[in-house]
This record gives sequence, structure tokens and C-alpha cells, in this order.
Amino acid sequence: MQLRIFLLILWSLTASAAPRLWAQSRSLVGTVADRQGEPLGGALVRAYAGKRIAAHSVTDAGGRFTMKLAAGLPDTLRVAVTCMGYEKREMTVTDPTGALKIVLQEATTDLKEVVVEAPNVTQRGDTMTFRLGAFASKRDITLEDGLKKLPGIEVSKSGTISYLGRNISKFYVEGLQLAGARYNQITRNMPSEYVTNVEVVENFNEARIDSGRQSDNVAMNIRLSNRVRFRPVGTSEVLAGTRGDHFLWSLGATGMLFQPSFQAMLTLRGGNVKEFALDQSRGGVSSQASSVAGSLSGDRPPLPTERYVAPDERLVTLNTVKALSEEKTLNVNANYAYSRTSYAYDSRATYFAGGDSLPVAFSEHYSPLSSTHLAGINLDYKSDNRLSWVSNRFSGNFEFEHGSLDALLDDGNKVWQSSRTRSWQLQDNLSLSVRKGDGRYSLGASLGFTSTPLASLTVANAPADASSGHQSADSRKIDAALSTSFDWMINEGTSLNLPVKAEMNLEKINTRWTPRDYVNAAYGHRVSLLVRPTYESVSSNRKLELRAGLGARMLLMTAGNHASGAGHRLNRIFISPVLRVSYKPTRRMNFTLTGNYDETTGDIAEMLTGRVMKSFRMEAARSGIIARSSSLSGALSVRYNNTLTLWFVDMNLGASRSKRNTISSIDVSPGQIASGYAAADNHVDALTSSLGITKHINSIGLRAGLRGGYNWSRSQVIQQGERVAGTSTGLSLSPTLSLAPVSWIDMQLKASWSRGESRYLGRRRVMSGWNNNARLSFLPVESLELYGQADFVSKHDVGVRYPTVSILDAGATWRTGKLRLSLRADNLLDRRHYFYTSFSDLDTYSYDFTLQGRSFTLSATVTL
Amino acid sequence: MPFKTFLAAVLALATVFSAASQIKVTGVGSAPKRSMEVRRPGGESSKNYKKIDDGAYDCLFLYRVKAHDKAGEEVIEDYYCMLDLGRNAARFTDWTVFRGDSAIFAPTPSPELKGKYLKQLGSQTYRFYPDIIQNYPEGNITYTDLVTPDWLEYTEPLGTMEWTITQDTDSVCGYLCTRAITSYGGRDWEAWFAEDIPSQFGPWKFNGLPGLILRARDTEGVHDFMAISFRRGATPVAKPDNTMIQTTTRDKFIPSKARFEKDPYKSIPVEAIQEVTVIGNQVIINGVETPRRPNGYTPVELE
Repeated sequence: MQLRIFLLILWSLTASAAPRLWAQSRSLVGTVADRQGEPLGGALVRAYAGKRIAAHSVTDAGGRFTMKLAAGLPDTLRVAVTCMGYEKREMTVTDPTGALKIVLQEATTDLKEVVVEAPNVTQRGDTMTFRLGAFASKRDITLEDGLKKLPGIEVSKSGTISYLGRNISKFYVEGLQLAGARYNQITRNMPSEYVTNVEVVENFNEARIDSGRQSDNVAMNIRLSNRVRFRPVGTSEVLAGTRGDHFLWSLGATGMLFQPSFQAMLTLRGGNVKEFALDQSRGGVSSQASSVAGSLSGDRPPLPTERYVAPDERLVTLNTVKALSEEKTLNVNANYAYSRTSYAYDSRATYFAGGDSLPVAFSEHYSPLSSTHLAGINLDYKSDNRLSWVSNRFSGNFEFEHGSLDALLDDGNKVWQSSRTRSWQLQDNLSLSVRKGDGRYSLGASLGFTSTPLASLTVANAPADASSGHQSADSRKIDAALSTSFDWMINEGTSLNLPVKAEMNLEKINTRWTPRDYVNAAYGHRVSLLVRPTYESVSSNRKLELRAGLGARMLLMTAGNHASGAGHRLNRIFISPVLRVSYKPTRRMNFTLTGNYDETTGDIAEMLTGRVMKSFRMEAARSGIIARSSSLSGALSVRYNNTLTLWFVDMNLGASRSKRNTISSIDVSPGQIASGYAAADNHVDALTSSLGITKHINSIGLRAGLRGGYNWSRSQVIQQGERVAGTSTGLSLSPTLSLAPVSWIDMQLKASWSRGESRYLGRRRVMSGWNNNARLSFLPVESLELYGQADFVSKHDVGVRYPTVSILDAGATWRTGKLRLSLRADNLLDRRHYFYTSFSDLDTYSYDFTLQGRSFTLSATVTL
Repeated sequence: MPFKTFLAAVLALATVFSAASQIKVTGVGSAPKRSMEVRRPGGESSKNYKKIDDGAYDCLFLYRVKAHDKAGEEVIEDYYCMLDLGRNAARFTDWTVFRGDSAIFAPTPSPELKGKYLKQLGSQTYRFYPDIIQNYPEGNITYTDLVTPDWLEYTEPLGTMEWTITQDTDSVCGYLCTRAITSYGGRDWEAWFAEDIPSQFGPWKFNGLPGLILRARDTEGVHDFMAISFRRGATPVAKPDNTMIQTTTRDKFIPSKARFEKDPYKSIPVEAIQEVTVIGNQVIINGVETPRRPNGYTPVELE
């Protein structure tokens, strides 16, 4: 019995000793070799306790390893051995005393290759660089599509780009200004895939001589992929489709060449699917005569134009820039655009008729049709270095327009209205600057000539009948300016600027309304001399900037109307102080406070006292006195950007009070509306505010944005001879969301909600509306995209609700190499009407627009 | 920038003129003549390199430094560096330098292409000057850095970093990584290593973990090495020949480098200057460039 007890104790001690020995062992040794017995150096040996790495070692050149083991490890360890080019080997080790001999087999698979893209946003000084590929996807076809995905950047419907709420002033491609102000010719025709980086430069000065000066300007520079530099590249598209029995087509080609010293871009496009020509074209001319008699145009609803307009468009643009030397460039930009649009709508306008009278209402059916030819040319020479700046820009613009706005009245009668305008404009601007010592001397000169030899409006009760009325107008204008400026650098960071500018213009406008024989022969000339000494100072740490200027403008103005014999002369000195303070507490945040007082005068349009026919329903006459207004305004803007967290925020608050000596008036009678201005002092007070926020989370492809605004104003109008004061407020919120949580889904939502309220004569009216667009894409394979999208729109007087209109589209896009094929079905539900209402002061307008019906198109695009 | 160039030139020239009898200024100009070319390590042939290991993988790192400009404002400096990874050794250097060396080791060697990269190196805003080879000589790290007019080099043993491996995991550069912490050079560091990549190496001098280190950053957020690309590579791990090297020790190097970076022109002994050339914004002394530091020097190692 005693022996058995002894043996039991001995066994227990022996059994418990084994793990204790393991725990007390301090190292595990061994060798690693390949199948041929050659030792493997650089192999990693890991010992795991559970999932945790308990110890690790690396083999030396002889394949030997020694792994120190901490006390307290469990009895059994898992050992894994890995080596580049060899398969991983795992084993369970329970005996620590013996040396391990491990043999590895050569691997047949490589490690997975990974490319995590370069940083998405970097900021160096005033330059923010966005890597476009990190934000845009293959679904973003044009550069404009890609820019819309970048933080802090917004692109308007017309293609204007803004960064943190400020429009960019210059647009460059690889450091050269290829297209000047019409940069949407580039952003709408250049494939997004050509672009690697987008640089946004704040505190931007175009001339190097101005480097370091205070500036509110923002510029954008596009960096291209190496594959599109040095060799010609381009894209071309062909589209065909049908809408009912109407054939749809579109053809387009863009050729580009980007070299270090020469860039060129030629675009040819035509089609009848959507409007594009006028937005991308220079050549528009605004003149007094065209605004008097050539402004026959229909109303437009808050819908994408392709939903209701039947267009026919042509566009040819050529942009070239040549770097003549390191500091000299020559731009040549030319384009021709033709646009013909037609659409139709019913309109019901209800006008306040004064006192307790019932409102006057008009109901008509309109069919606007417009044909416009625009041609423009721009020649721009620049020489830019640190000591001098020379710039000369010549531009020529030509606009020919023909429009008709036939109206079918409530009583069944029809009115034919047509307008015709011919305008052209030549302009040259010269600018010279030289730096000498602490001074900078500048000289500027400009000369412009604008002419509208013909603008006419004809109203008839039958085609080709001018008996009802014919309004003609012509106008000419010469502008000239000469300016000099001296900048004196008092010390580093402080400067005094003394600009002097002399301006002169001569203007004439003649109008004739037959057979009613209302005639105007207005003329005017003005000479002004402006002096605005400005003090600028920047603190040594560049956190605080101050600019204060006091402008004094001496104005000599004469205006009159030979037809009425009236004439006015105004000789006066206007004072206009300006103050701007900018504070940057951190690199990411900027506060800017501005305040200014300014006085302005009207132009010779005020002299058009003889009635002018604006349409068969409307006529206008001006007050005959020179309008004057003074305004005091202040604004605070806050901008914040964080390139690490990708929060971008901008906020603006503004307030102004204006005093005017004329007030707009409107008189409505059954069948006729007369608008004009009356002499009466009045005030307009306004508050505006806006907020823009964007946030990106790249891991889920999220771009969330919110833009909101609130404004309030108090003003007066004269309606039916009654002076009416009122207030109006507006609130808008526009959230946007772009989300790609997984590679095969892409969602986009653009919503816009607005609410307007007006209070006149104790009456309160509220209008609200939604305008939403949602798009959902599926990508079952990388080369194929299936999508559906919808527009949900409604805008209505609260209490008088019109139905919300939903317009659905669907399509598929297949990409293979350089080819992209797209099949689209638009307006699948074949919605044909869109209703909405709006108001202005005391009047209300309701519309029923005819929509374009269901369409099917197939397009092929090749990008080289 | 011209002001900085001017200042650098004035400082250099002032130093030079103080010992005018011994020094020859060979030129101040916008373009280098052949005799004024910057002398750089390596050459136009693979014979100008000592091959240490076959290259297996290239791991590109974005090295981000939180620096401060002269106004005290925080500035982010981005450097791109390549970890040329072999089985037994690894080299960590500026990406542009690596690309230049790759052009020499390409199947069709191209000295012209290397020349293009070297030219690009001269205009880079931020350039990573150190050249670090891990496990060369075996069991050591060879660290080479610019202290004009010399390149200083020292070795230190591999595996001196004592790591504590945590249970935290995260995805870095597409690989599941585990976090480890250590203290080195006067800073506390955290590193993320990928067990799936069997290499003990990492960016800069980081090594000694059971998997390739794909991210390393100090706890104050001043230095951050992030892997942004991992792919097969064929450029061998090689050490460029460098006749300008002066060997030293780590203990001597760190204070010497700090002194130099604080005021490069003051720290260069006048008698050591034989030739000064200013090319664009580069000051070249005895054919060796001086480092450009737009925002001053932010050392990785404090001690």
C-alpha cells in the first residue's frame, strides 16, 4: 500500500514536472532550410500562444534561429515559419528541448500587390491639391463631372466653378490659361480620366510682380496624366435615338494637344438632344437696344432644360496658347455657336389691382422659339516676370438673334410676336506694370465699342402683319479708360497704393414704337476721375491682413432725350471708403470682414421717357431723371478646411442698406401692363447669409454636402399708383450626397428645398418647393453600369398644391478599352406636364410646362 | 524663394569670402556647367553599386512630417520613399533616387533616365536625404546621410528596438496588420506590421517585427511612415559607391547633424570649403549639395 502511494506521488511529480520544464525553458532553437538542404536566411519564425504572437525570431545566414520564450506560456505552442519565395509552414511544438529542423517548399504564389493611392488632398502654402482619382469614379465622364466630387468645390449649371463659396478667377491647364474666362469649354469637353490632380490656389495674383500682395482671388490649375501630354489626344461621340417620331442625334469631337510650350483644343459638336452651345460660347453682347426691344423670351421653369426644350445646337471652339518664352504667352480663342430652341407652356399671371379691387389675371398659351448665332474671338498676350507685367487683350463678339413668342389668348385669339437683334462689340485692354526698388508703377488703358444697329419687336394679330405694333431700337456706346497706379512698399508687409483712373463713355439709343409713334432719342456722356489711396498691411506672422482705402470719384455726367427735349447734368464728387480685415488664426481657418460705402448713378436708359413696347401685353417708360443710389454694406465670411478630416466649410453673413431716388412701379389694367420708375426716395434693407459644408469619407466613397441660405429684405414698390412697403424672406437648403459603399453600387442624391415668404399690405404669402434628383447605379462587372435616375419636382403656393412630378430615366453604359457605349431611356413614364407657381412682390404666376416625351438613345464614345 | 536663394548665396559667399585665399568660387548661375555638377552617390553603371541582395518587392511609403514654418505655422511635409525589399536586406531611400538607380539596373540600362531623375531630385520641394540599408553588414543597419560637404555613414546593430506586440489589428495598405510599440531615438513609436509579408524590415530603421512594417508613427504625430503601394520589384538591394563618405558613429552623428541643420553655413569649417557653386536654389560646396529645408529640420531621432 505504501509502495502504491509512493508510486502515485512519484507519477504525479513526474507528470507535473513536464509543463514546469517547458515554462522554465528560455529559448526555442532550430534551423530552416529548403528541400535541397540549403539553409534559408531571413526566414521569420513565430511562436503563437492561441492567436497571440508569443515570440518571434529571424534566421541568420546559416538558417539558424533562437527564440526566447517568456515564462508562463502554455504547454503547447503553434510555430509558423515564413520566408519570401517559400510556402508558409506551421507546426505544433510540445517539446522545447530538441532543436527544430524545418524544411520549406518553394512558393508558387506571390504576395498580393497593393497600390494605395497617393494622398488625396495636400496643402502647401496657399495651394490645395486634390488627387482627382480619389474622389471621381469612372462614371464621371467629363472633368466637370469629376470637379463636382471634390471637397469644397461646386460647379453651377452654367459651368462656373467656385471654391468655398468664391468663384475662381483664373483657370489653368498645366500652368497655361488655355481658354480664358470660358473655361467650361475645357471642363465640359475634357475627359476626367486625362486629369491627375486639381490644384486650387488661394490668395492668388495672376502677375508674378504682384506675388505676396493681398488677394481674395482663387485660381485653379489642372495637372494632366503623362499619357495625354506631348501627343495629340481626343474624344469623339456619336448618338442616335428617337422621341416619338422625332429623330434624335448628336455628333461631337474634341482634339487636344498639351505640350510644355503649346496647348490646343478644338471642339466640334452638334445635336438636338440637349442645349450646350450658348453656355460654352463667348460672343454674347449686352446693349441698351437689345434690352429694350430684343428681349422677347419666355419664362423658364426650375427644371433641367432637356426636360422641356427641343433644341438644335452647333458649336465650334478653338483654344490655343503658345508659350513664346518662359515668361511670354499668346492666347488665341475663337468660337462659333448656333442654338435654336423651342418649347411651350400655359401661363396664368395674377396682378394686384390696388385697394380692394379684384386681382387682374391673364391666361395665355406661349410657344417660345429662339435662334441665336454667337461668334467670338479673343487674342491675349502676356509677359510676366518678377519685375514687369505686360498684358494686352483684344476681344471681338458678335450676336445675332431671332425669336418668336406666339401667344394663344383665353378668348381664342392668337398674337404673333417676333424679335430680331444684331449686336457686336470690340474691346481692347492694355496693362503694364514695372517694379523698381520699393515701388511698383502701373499703367492701364482700355477702349471698347458696342453697337446694336438693329433691334426690333413686332406684334401682329396675323402672320406677317405689323399693324398691331412694331418697336425698333438701335444703340451705340464707346467706353475708354486710362489708369495709373503707384505702389510703395513702406516696409516688409506694409504698402501704400495710389491708383488714379479716368473713365469716359459716350452713349446713344433711339427707339420708335409704330404706329403709336412713341419715340426716344436718348444720349449721354460721362467723365469720371477716381482716386483711391489704399493702405495695406500684413502682420509679420501673416495672420492678420488689413486693407483700408478711401475713394473719391468726381463725376461729370450729361444725359437727355432729344425727342422730349429733356436734359440733365450731374457734377458731383462721390466718396467711397472700403475696409477689409482678414484674420487667419490657423492655417485652416480664415475670417474676413469687409465694409464699404458706395454711391452709384444710373445710365441713359433712365432717359427713355417715351413708351417702349416690351410685348403685346407690356410697355415700359422710365422716369427721365438720373437715378442715384447710395449703399452701406458689411459682410463677414468664414472659411475652414481640414485636409486630414476632409471637412470644408464656408459661411457668409451680409447686411446692407441702400437709398435710392427712384422706385419701380407697375400699373395693371385689363389687357395691359405698364412698368416704369417714379421719382421718390426710398430705402432697401437686406440681410443675406449662406452656409456651405462638405465632408468626405473616402473609405465608403461618401461625399456629403449641404448648402443653405437665408435672406431677408425690406423694400417698396409702386403698384396701381399705390406705394406699398413689404418684406420678403427666403430660406433654402440643398443637401447633396454621393455614396459608393461597395465597388458595385454608386448612389447620388441632389435635393433642393426652398421656402419663400412675402408680406405686403398685411397679407402673408408662402411658397415652397422641392427639386430633387436621385441616381442609383449598379456595376455587376467593372465595365458595365446599370442605372436609374429620377427628378422629383414641385413648387407651389402653400395651400394651393400642385402634384409633384416624378420623371424617371434608366440606362446602361458599357466600357471596353477606349470605347464607351451608352443606352438611355429618358422620361420612362412619359410625363408631359409640369406645374409650378411663383410670386414677385404682390403678383403671382402659375405655369404648366409641356415636357419632352419618352426618348431612347444609343451613343458611342471613343476616348484616345 | 528668390529671397531664400539670395540669402543662402549671401551666407555661403560671406563664409567663402572670409577665407578667400583658400577658396575658389567656380560659379553662380542658373545652369550647371559640367565642372560644377553635383557629385552624387552611384554612377552610370551597375558596377558603381555594391549588390547586397536580390530585390523581391518594392514598398512605397508616404513619409509625412508635421513641421513648422518660419512663422510658426504648422506645415505638412510629404516625402515619398521606397523600401526596396529583399529577403535578407532592405534599402530605404528617396523614391526619386530609387527610380534613378532602377534605371541603371533595368534590363536595358538608361543613364539618361537616371539623369532625368537626378535633375528632378534637384527641384523636389521635399527630399529624403538619408539612405538606409538594413541587415548590411549582416546584423547591422548602415545609415548614410548628408552633412555637407560630406556624406556621413555609421552602422548600428539590427534588432535593438524592443517591441511590445499588442492585440490591436487594423488594415494598412490592404494587409491585416498588428500593432506593436517601442521607444527609440527619444520618441515613442507605434508600428503596424503584416504577418502575411515575411520580412523583419520596415521603413527608415524600423525592423525586428515578425512581418513587414507597413506603418510607423510617433505618438506625438510628428513623423508618420505610411505604406501606399506594395508590388513585386526587380531592382536589387544595392549600395551606391560614394567616395564622399566619412564614417562615424551614431552617437557622434546625431549631435553633429543637429548642429549642421541648425545653421549649415556656420557649421562648415571654412578651411574645408574649396569650391562653392550656386545653381538655382541649390548651394553646392565642394561638389556636394546642401540640404534644402523650406521649414527647417525636424529630426526623427532626438537622442
